[in-house]
Amino acid sequence: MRRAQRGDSDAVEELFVAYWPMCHRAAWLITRDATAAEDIAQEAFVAAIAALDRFDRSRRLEPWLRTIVARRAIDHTRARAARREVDEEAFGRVAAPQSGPRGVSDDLVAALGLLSLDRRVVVVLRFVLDMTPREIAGLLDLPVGTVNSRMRRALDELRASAEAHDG
Amino acid sequence: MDEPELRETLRDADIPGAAGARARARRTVLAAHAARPPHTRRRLTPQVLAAAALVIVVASLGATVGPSATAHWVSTTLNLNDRVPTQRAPASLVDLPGGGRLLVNTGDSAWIIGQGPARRIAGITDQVGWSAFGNYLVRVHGKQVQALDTNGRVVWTHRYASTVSFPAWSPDGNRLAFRVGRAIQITAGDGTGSRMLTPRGAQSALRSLPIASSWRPGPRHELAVVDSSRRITLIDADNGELLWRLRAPRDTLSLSWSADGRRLLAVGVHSRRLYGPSGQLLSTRDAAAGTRFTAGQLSPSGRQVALMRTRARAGSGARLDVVLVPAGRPAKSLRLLFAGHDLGDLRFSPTGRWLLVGWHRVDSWLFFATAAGDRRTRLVSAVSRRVGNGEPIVQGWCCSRAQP
Repeated sequence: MRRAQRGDSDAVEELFVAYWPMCHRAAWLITRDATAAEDIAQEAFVAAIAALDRFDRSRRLEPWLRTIVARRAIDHTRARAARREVDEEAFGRVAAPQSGPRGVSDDLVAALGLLSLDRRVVVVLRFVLDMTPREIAGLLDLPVGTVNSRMRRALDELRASAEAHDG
Repeated sequence: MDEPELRETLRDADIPGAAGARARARRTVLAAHAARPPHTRRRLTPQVLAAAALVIVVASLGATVGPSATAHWVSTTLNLNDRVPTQRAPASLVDLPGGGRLLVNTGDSAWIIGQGPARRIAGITDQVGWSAFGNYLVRVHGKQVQALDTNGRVVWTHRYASTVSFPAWSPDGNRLAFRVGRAIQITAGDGTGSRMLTPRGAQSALRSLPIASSWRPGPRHELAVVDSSRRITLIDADNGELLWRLRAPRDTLSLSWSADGRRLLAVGVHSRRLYGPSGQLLSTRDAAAGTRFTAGQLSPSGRQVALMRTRARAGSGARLDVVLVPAGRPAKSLRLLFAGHDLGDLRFSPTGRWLLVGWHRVDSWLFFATAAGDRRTRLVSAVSRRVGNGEPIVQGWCCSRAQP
């Protein structure tokens, strides 16, 4: 962080390499929209760079990035649901071509996508962004108990889905 | 499935297009970092240390002096506001990757950005444009059109009965065209000889649609106009000779010439058309299914087209992408430069080696190198701060020497 603040582009590259996968992945798992995920993660990084001089150097960039990514991804998903965008995927392919055959994790990712947004968010924040239940509760402005119950139900759903697939 | 397994699976999940997204974001992030003002660490100067010591001393006498009087005394005695150095580079200094100067409209002013501190030319501005060599600018507001020099001195002013819009200076600097109501008005560069553009032999003036006219580079004063019957009309502005009359794309957005005057690009909402030197149609390309164009420009070389696109039914504030395609070839050979929300200000540098895209959501300008294989990206941040916290619209990029 200090090197980045001093203008060292190699340090920014290191920060990007360290945190981009986490941010991009979290945004995608929440939004299920590759183009939106790219925008959200990219805007979070650009916002972080713009605010670099204001960061307390004793703190880490990661918590700030994951908070802004999570908030923007949730906002985007809620706004999209309200707008009922029916043709977004057709346009999205231009910016983010679809990948090839489904991988081994695709069934779980698909099952995650079937969870309600509230449950999906807590799973992504916990297992991709490594936030504690208390941090998730703070971010979502919820009691910790509510976060835990959403997590438990989400995991039950995912396990049931996995068992159905195996069975 | 246990929790470590879930964590591992989610972290290994394939994201569609992840590699491309990562490469694009990396370029943008590094460009954003490179665009930051020089790092400054506030040091405790002798004046500040002295002030701090004095504050402590005087504060100990606070019972007799009082806090506000103390602050006033410290401030006026040390003149702190004048002496504390600010090392941050002026926000107005912008080093444009393509060289030259941008002409930026903030509504209450026009700003000249690049090659030194930003220069403000105050005055309500609806639209503004450069003269051929960047020595003058033309500004319209309401029913008035003005030519000014770059120090803001008014050279001439004309007022008309109808609203003036879309001013355009000819490439040799000797003619100026602008829309007055639905007619096109032509003047000499010095403001003399104002007259409505009328095709030779016609009884009435040419009527136009609200789209910027475009002067053809070359020895004659030939102006391309989208007329009221939705045709692209190329007309000699000096004698009214009608040179071409061509079908324009539906809902035409813009006309742009190559620097040699041999190619004209017309971009409509649903298609783009490229015309040759005699007006022959060289190519027609439709927007991809489900998309529409929102802006387009032909590069000065005439070999590339920059396009901004969005989903067909998207509203304002929707996601757009910016692509570079070879002029006249299918869009499948496109190069995706950027995608995001609130984009605008699509404009080639005077040499065509860079493309400007306004990224309003993060208050920045992005600059993309246009040469094949050149992936350089530059970002200028805090754009509105550089123009007095206005909302900047780029309306011209003028006159640079070629830069590598």
